[in-house]
Amino acid sequence: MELSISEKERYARQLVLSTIGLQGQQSLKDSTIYVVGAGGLGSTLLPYLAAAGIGKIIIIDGDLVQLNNLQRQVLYTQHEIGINKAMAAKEKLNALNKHTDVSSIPHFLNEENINNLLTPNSIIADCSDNFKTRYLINDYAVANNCTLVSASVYKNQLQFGVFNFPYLPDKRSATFRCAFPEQNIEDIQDTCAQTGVLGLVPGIGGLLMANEIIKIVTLSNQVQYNKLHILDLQNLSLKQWTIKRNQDI
Amino acid sequence: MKVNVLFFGALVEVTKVSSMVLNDVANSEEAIELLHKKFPMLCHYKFSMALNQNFLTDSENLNDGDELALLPPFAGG
Repeated sequence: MELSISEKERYARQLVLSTIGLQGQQSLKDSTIYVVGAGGLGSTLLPYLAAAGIGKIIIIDGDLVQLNNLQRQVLYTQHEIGINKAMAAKEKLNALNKHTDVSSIPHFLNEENINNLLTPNSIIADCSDNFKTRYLINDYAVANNCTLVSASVYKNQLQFGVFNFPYLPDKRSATFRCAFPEQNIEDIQDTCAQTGVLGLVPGIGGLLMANEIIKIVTLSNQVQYNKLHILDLQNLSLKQWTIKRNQDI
Repeated sequence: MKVNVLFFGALVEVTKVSSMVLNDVANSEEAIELLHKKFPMLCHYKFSMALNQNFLTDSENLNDGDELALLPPFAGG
């Protein structure tokens, strides 16, 4: 469906950008994004995707809003403690942009339900908070030709990348496993509950994910694939490393 | 010969520093062996390595001024 007059007014400030334009805005409207996890990363990713005019967003999260989430999961308020995050996020996005079709799936993604909840050839945003889910999503993405946009945090540091991206018709970029082939990583190595996290770090992660997703959907030639980035908010340094695709994993 | 080593994420909990200089190490494998001796707790952590902004898949020879990064995956979200 073409953009309405109301939508053209809503998106006016980005329609004038050469990187978006009418064609890019139409691509955003025609796109579907799966967001796994509606916590700290999802709290900024989700509203910016909806505000930018993504046509359909599917939020998957079985977790409930807790008091100790509110320090960083700014999508929620203290009135929503105890409510499922996917459901609460859907209400917020519906209020933000009536043109975005939002679905909420109030379940954790796992080996049993992943083939029913995700769709091949799609764009998946990994906003999860544990290694098991991260490897599960990566393996689904690789097996089903999905582009994976991923971010994760540790204290004041943020790690992000675009994986399995089709940069040529017959070529896909490095995957999460190409960067981190190790399996069975104990979550104790790295969880927000164990180590702590500065609230704005996942917030910035969600924004960077939204930025890459918008570039992917609008067919930018500046998508940051084959790279791992680490942003350190303590000393404000951004570093990146090149990852080679390993066809064996 | 000096090689600058960078630590990220949970590895800094072990090393207590975000970078250090190693002297006279011939290759990345030797550098890791030395780091494991210096920080025995490193063996409990999974991480990848990158040399001069490129992920390593095999041991590489090191040269003066090289930058070796130890990169653990993060999980938090």
